Amino acid sequence: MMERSLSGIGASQGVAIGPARLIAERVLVVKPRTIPLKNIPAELERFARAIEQTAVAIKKIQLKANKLTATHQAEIFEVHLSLLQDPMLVDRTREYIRTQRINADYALLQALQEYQKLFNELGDETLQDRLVDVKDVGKRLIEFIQGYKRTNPFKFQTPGILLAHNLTPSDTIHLDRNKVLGVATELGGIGSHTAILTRALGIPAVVGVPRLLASCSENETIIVNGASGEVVLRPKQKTIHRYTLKQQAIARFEHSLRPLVDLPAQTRDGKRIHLLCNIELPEEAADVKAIGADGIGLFRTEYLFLSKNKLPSEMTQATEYLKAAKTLKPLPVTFRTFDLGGDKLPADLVVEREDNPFLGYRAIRVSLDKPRLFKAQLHAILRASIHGNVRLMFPMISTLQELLEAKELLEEAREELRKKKIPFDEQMPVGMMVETPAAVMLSDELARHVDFFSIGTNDLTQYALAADRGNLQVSHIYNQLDPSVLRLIALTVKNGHAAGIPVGLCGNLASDPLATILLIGLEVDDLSMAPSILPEIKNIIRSISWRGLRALGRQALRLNSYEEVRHFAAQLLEQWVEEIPY
Amino acid sequence: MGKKKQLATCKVSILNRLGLHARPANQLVRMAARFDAELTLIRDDLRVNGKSIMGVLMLQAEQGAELMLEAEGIDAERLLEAVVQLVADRFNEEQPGEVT
Repeated sequence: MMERSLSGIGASQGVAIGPARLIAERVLVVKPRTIPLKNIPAELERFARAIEQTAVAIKKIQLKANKLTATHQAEIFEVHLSLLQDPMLVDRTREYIRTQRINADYALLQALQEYQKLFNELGDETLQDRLVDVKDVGKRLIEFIQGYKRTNPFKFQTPGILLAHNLTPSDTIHLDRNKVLGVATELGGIGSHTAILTRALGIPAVVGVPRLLASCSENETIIVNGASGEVVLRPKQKTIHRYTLKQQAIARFEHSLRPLVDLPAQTRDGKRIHLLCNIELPEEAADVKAIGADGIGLFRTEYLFLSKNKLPSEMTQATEYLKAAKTLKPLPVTFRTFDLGGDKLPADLVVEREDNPFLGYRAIRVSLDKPRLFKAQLHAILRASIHGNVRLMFPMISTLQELLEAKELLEEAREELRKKKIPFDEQMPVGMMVETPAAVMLSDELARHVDFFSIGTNDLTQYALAADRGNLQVSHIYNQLDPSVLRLIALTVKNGHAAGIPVGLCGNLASDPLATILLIGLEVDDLSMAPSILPEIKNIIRSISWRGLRALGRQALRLNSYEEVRHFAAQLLEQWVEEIPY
Repeated sequence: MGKKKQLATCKVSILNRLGLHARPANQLVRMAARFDAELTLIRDDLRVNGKSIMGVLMLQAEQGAELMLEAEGIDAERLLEAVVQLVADRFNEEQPGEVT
């Protein structure tokens, strides 16, 4: 057999070489059996139990999907849950069990087939998508009725490259990075679950490869090139050799970054830039120290409000915050008060559906509207402050009044603790996120009331360009390197520095190696990013000279388009940093 | 009134831009499930169970579609009132540019 190359979409960079492991879909076998009359109640019970088990399984997936992706993808699971209550499916199945005296799985299969027939008669394409949902839920139900336990198909005995038609969110969650060398799938795009998760795990992956499974057999050697999107089947020795060299170059590069852990993030001419991490869970706090970061620039607190069914108490919160503060000590931990609303709302906080949730009831607006909830969090952060280097910041400030009100509530919270003789750090720095164009325009005024600014480029870009990056029709307008966003950043820095406060940046832009030199040129004082990217960013900073960068920053501000900025940034990077071998 | 069985009917037209797609359909059946009464939705000659998610989706009711509602049971009238309200509120979800 000849060497052959298929191309797809590079989803997670890196090169993997290894034996193919094909994940086939399991075929369900459902046969009719007659159930004796006396066993009918037990059969109905078996069906009822399967429904419960399926509901639990769906909720689990939903929870993980919620964590991994934005709102809309997780929503389909709500429809799946409703399907489990659907009388056309459930009542009918029960009826068949009773009247035909047949086994539950066969009764269900009949109900499913009736559904399919109806849908086919109506013959609309969007309905066909819904039929996929019916089948998905039906399959799970049948598996539970039959007592079949889904094993983790990705538990390989020996390491290999996983090939599948498509990976569902529930599949990808099981990927073991020690056994799965690489991933290639027939479906999926750059924003798919597979792409997001493999990137997070650092597994090379290519998605959207047509006819992948048909072109490849189990155990054949294949190569996955996650940067180029190429999948090589049955590679010649020469090809394997070439890719092995590439793999080694990448490994050497990553290895070369390792000694950086103990070195400070400073330019060749001695300008120190603070590199911090954004984290979502307290467990991640330990990693922050291990990779040589200067602290946590953004500790998102939403998880506490979203993962449990009820709102967290002051003590629950204090325990979590304290853990992080102690772990990081003496490095700073910046807690951002909850940014709920928009697309994230706890179950307990019932809020009316909004026409424009991102222009609606969220973040500081919810906090000021629910002072008790807010103060419980302020108390908890204050309590933690005595045990480490704690900083606090408010999200989504768009008016001076909001900031003053938030600070007033903070002062009340301090006073309440003083009365109870609970110690806290009286000097705890208090800052705010700059993530609305309004805050940028008022930043000279706002800067007089806070100890630091942190620019949130994700929201700032969305609000400045009035483009939702989740909306495919306009997402091309959403660019954090847009000249308008750069100017907003520059103005914030200027006003912050004029008032004598440091200005950091904690949006996605801080995690983009392309942007690093520009941001330093714009005089941003610290960058807070995803922990995985920090060594690479530190490497860039240690390769550059601070002298002359400000002039380059000003030059960038005069560029006319996102493309020009990108090109400019890429040239800067090339000039200073050795080629990255991906 | 008391615990007497009621039969109630009314007509609604769908107002939200994207019609009865997955999320509003889901809201509708979840709400209907809280009532005792049976709910039937009728569009032309297609009759579906208003408590069945797939049934409601099968109507493929787009913006402007007219539906006949029939409810039967002790709380039939209250059920219809709730449905009418939900439809009038556009399922609380008019978000421009959104595709589900």
